[in-house]
Amino acid sequence: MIDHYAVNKFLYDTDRNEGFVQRYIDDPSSYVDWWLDERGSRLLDNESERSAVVGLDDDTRRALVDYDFVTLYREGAHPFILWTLMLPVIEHKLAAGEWDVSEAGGDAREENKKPMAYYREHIGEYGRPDFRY
Amino acid sequence: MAELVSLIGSTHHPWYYAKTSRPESELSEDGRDLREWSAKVQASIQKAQPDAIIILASDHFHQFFHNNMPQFIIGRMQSYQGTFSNEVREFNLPRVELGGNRALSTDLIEGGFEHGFDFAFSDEMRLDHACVVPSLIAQPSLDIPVVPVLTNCGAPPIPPSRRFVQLGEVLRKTIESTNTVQRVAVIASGNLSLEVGGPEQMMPYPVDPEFDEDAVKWIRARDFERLTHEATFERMMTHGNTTFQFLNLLSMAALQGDLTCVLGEASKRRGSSKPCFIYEQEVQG
Repeated sequence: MIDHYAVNKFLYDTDRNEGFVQRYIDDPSSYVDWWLDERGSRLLDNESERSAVVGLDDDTRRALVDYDFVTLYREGAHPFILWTLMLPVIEHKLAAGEWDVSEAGGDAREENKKPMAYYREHIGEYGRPDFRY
Repeated sequence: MAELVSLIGSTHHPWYYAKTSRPESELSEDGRDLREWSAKVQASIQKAQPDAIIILASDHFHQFFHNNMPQFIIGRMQSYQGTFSNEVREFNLPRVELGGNRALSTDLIEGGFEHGFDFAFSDEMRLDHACVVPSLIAQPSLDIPVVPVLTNCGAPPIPPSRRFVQLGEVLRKTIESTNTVQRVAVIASGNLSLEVGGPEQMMPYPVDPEFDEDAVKWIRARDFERLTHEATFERMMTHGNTTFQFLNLLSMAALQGDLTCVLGEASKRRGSSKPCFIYEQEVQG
């Protein structure tokens, strides 16, 4: 079971900072470790203070490093912030030819259709997990 | 004493700008439809001549997060910056600046105390597409000052539906008791059935067209018993994992008072249906 707050905090804190998104794309392993050490337990609105919360078990850390959004989705990460961070990740992977998607339909800006289809293809079978925790 | 002169219920479709800001000949059907919606809203707002527009909307994890999540919060600034970097990245949405009315914000907060609603407030708030898009739709020149009233429709536990009805009632009373301005418009920013980050995200059809049609009927009839019964977390999840912003439309219905609903429909798009509500004052004589 993932620590919902920790995962959501990672997604939120990373997605709202352009430099963090780029680092997560460039080197996920180093970025996730850095984030856990430096950001995980730091208060979001007071960077000089820490709280008692926020650590990730090995499985959750691996899921973040591997961009394993399917596991995170299934376990109840918040779908909105999961999607918004995974969008640039998936865009990058598709552009690099590391991931592939067969169809690209839907109601979206042209640039977003393929990543959206990729995301949907992979989480589709899990329906709508309850993201309350 | 101020009066509520205009009430709008609108989509905040994040691709609104991307879809409408191109030459006429290059517009998609959806882009054309969104432009038509904007023209109707603009005409209604111009007729009503509001001194300020209250925007009832929900932050999408741009400013607020689970570390400190307000259920209902009022911005209290003289001007607001709008649009976050990931909205520029994902939606090509422009960064904007909107005027505010700090005195009116304070009146709404203090009026809330009188009527059983303890609003949180923020003297440093940035607005996301939930406020920016309806503003671009209603007043592209962005001349009329706004007061953002943000609701938690995304981070469970979400307030129960009856609180959104009460919010509408309280806002009407507080608007009618302020002397800061004379004429107030309210734009409720929301959606019908909708999915983001789930299996039916941005499909070329609405997630639940039957719900969309029913929901519009219940709103028009101000059937609050039915609306509050249907708008529980569990039931809304069956219509898509982001349907919760429908709750802002319950507040809108509760704000109606003696205004006339001149347009109330679920407009069919290629994707999710969009809520289209325009309420106006009765023409005298």
